[in-house]
Amino acid sequence: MKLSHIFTQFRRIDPDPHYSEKSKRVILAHPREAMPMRGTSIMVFLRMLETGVALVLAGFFLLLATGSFSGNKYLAPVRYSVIDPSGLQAEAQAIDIQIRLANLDYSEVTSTAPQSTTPEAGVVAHLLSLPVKDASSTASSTASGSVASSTASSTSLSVNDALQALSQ
Amino acid sequence: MEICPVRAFLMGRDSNLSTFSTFSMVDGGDNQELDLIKAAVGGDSSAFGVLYDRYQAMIYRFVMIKVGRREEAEDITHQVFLSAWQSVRTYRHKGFPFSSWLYRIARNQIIDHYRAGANRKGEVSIEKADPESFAVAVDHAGNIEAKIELETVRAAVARLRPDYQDVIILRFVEDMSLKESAAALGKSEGAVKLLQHRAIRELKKSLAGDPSIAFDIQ
Repeated sequence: MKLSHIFTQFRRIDPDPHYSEKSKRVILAHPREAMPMRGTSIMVFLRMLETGVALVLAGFFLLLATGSFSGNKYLAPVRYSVIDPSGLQAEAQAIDIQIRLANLDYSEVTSTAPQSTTPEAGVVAHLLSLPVKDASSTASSTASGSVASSTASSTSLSVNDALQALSQ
Repeated sequence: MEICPVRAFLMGRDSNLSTFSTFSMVDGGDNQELDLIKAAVGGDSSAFGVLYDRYQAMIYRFVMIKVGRREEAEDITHQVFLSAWQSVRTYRHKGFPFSSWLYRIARNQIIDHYRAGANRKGEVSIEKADPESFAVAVDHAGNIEAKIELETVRAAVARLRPDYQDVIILRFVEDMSLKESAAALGKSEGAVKLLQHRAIRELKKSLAGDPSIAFDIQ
């Protein structure tokens, strides 16, 4: 037998007529369940409550997020930081810092310095407490010429002059 | 076998069955059917009765081919329409035929039926089966060999995957077009075509050992 013919035979499958009529009568006589109004209102209330709770939580988290903004203290009702900027500022101003330079000393240069040495070399050497080389070298003779003339006449040399001489 | 109380109650010889009316199921655009559905949704029991007459045989055939036993098919069909009547208030017409909603309920009822364990899908062998309990009521022939062949094919279809069964039943038993089958199953035509191709391939494998059945469909 061909399969297509068998499928055609399947179309002849019908329910028992008496069963069908009885089934229909029973089904249509069956009352449909009415939707309880109270259940509906409770569900609406629960949904509204859920929405309200969601909004409150969202607002709370928003406030927490803006709590770190210190531009306006009214917008930051929650202070969770232990650092007090104004207090720190007052504390910083209260600190008395005085810097002193202790043991600062400089000596005057005298005319009894040996002629073999150049005056500025003598000044510098005296300041630095270093041995002085022989002034017969030509490299230092020309440089010290002008200085020698200026310092030969004066007995004391100022710090500014000494520094200037050093820079030259 | 224990008789289901529903079937026991429904058996009787009271009134005649009203005639079925034919209709078109293409894209559910039948205005008359839409009016009936609207009335049924509103609670009109007579409108639902008309819908019951239209679709009861189709759903019964659908269930019968799947479960294979007349009593169970009648019980399941009764449950399908009872569920439909109780939940028709929530039905929303979305362009699909009313039958697609009924088919969905039928599929779920069959699944629940198997879960409840009322009947296992494992078949009874042909030698032990009672021919009188076969699904097909072959009026004209009635010979036992024809009945056995019909039951063999029915069992082979019942062994397929549920979606393959649906396509085979709608396309070859109910003789629906591709478009109608797609609308009834809530799938696209391409999906139905693919399912049909695979279903036929599986059915061919299943019936390969029976030389009396000639495979002539594609």
